Amino acid sequence: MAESLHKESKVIEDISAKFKIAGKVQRERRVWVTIDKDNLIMLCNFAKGLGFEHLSAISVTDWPEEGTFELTYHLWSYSERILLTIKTKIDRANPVADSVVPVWQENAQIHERELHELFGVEFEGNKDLTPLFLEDWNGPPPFQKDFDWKEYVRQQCYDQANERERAYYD
Amino acid sequence: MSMLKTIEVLFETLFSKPMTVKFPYEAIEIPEDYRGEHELDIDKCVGCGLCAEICPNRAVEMVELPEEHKEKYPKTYPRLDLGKCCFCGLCQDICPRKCLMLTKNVFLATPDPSAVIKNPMPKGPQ
Amino acid sequence: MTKQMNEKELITIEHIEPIIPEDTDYNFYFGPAHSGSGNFGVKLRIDGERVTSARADPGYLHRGFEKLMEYRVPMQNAVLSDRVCVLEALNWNLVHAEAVDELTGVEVPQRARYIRVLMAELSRLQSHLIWYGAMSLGIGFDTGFKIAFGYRDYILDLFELITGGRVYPAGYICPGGVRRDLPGGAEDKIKRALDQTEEMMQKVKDFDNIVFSRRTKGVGILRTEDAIRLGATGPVLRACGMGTDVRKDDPYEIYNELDFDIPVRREGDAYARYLIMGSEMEESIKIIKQVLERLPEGKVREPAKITPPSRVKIPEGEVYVRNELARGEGCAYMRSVGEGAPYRVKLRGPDLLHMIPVLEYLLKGSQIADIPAIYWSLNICPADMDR
Repeated sequence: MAESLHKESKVIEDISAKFKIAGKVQRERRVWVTIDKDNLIMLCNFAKGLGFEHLSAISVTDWPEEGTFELTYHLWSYSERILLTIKTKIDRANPVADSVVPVWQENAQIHERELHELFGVEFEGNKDLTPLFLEDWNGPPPFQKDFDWKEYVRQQCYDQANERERAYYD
Repeated sequence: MSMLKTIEVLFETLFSKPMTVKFPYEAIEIPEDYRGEHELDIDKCVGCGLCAEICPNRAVEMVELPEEHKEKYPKTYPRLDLGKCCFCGLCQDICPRKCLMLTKNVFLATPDPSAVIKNPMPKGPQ
Repeated sequence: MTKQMNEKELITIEHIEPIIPEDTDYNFYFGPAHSGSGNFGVKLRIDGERVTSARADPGYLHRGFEKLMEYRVPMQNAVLSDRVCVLEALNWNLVHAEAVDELTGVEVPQRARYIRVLMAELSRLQSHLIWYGAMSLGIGFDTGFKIAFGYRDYILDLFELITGGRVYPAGYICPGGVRRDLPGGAEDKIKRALDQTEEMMQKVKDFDNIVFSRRTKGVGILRTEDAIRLGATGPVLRACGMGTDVRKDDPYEIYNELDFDIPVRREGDAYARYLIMGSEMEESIKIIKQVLERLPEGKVREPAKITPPSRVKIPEGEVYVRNELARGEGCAYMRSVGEGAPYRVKLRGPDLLHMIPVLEYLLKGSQIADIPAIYWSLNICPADMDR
């Protein structure tokens, strides 16, 4: 099994040589690295130079007890056939991150627009962060863990005269 | 030429059977294991409440029967709200006594809103 | 056919300017109340008959699946996952089931893996028939639309027999395997439905006449480097000359044991995408026939009984699975902290990229009459974009 993970280990070696971070090979074709947010753009440019030209997804995970948002960037390389995931953390009280639009252009721009609307993360360098899905929404970003959606729906939509709705609110 | 092909296709389709059937005079048969309306065998039910726990839409609620049946059936039994149900069949799969089953009845549209809730009732003459 | 015009900048249509009567610029809402656009709108700015800018208007089907899945155990999430995109419900079931299987580390039985591939390929066939029907409808060829949906019904009868529902299989492909075994006599009915699908594909070749090719050749050309930059995947990328398919590059289930080809074309226009659709249907039929020959015996789900929700625990970890849906690359990122429900689920569908960057890029500079051909040749699904 070790010889078949040769390409994945080489990716980690190339990245560790330049950035001094540890990485993990989860299984074949899956490599995970973690980096601090100041070196994120340099690592993204380096990864694109290694052949990771397709940005598959960007995701945000909310950790309210720690007080951080965790950003994950999933990159796929058509030539090497490996998926590299870059994880980084930003402060939850002041969620500002560098935008990767200079690296992956429109592909990244649409993912960041969606995450800005749903989680409230500011991406510096992204020119168009207008709302994508929700219209006339004036509450907090809805996918955060401390948004009490049950209370919000109970106040806006609960019709107490309808007996059938009671099952959802007790 | 394409005119010949047109006449050939024309005759082929004029004399072949259509894809549709004349419902309600004829019907396509519904296969077994189709997920339709629920049926509860109340004598076998033990009131464990697993069907209410697994339902993704909270369509199943455990209720007691009215006073006149409480002596023979003292536990809580599932009451279904067919308006919330998505007919996934998880309640049928998890029932340990196999007493909540889904039948093939799909003709459930009704103009009466109170008919949407199915209360558990003992079978037989009342 | 997309000529370079005198560079008018992209005008955002958030505020509407008053239209002066002599001017030939106007706003055109190819919008959600239009009978030929699905649940999705595009705001176009048109000068005479040529589109100068386009802005997508998504969000009519946003249901918040990623947040809904954080409150339910995996077996209940499997029932939710087929509503992410109704046109290929079984393929999304497979994405979710693979993510949970990789987190829990369960060994899925061999028979279940073969049945999963069989159902995923049948779902791909009926999704391509919808693609053909919608593309003919957009161009104006109503007969092709009706015949495609008529032949699609034979595959929906198979779904009714095997899973218990025509359109929504209610989590048939669930974590641990599949929910129930194939009923007796299913294999003959599957072969009969494949013969009928081959009849339909012969009709599709006969319908390819001069009107169809005139309306789709040279329309909506996308070059390879633009396609990768805008994030296109799946058939849209394969029509631009890039021969990549997740089933070959990043195999899942038993695809590495099956023998099939990947159709690739170089032109990048709507006609090339239509030809790829036909070739992919032939490859799917080949895959299904191989699966039916090699189907082993055994169990179909591990564990065989459903665990009650209060006792379910997913081990801690994070995974990212990639699948090839009928429309492109569909992925799921799942993070768990050891509770019964996942902590975060991110579903990545191919249509968020196809319907916003790629569509805005292709519509700019085209004629009004080409809008349906470009729009429907991208094989869009608004439900997948909004989730």
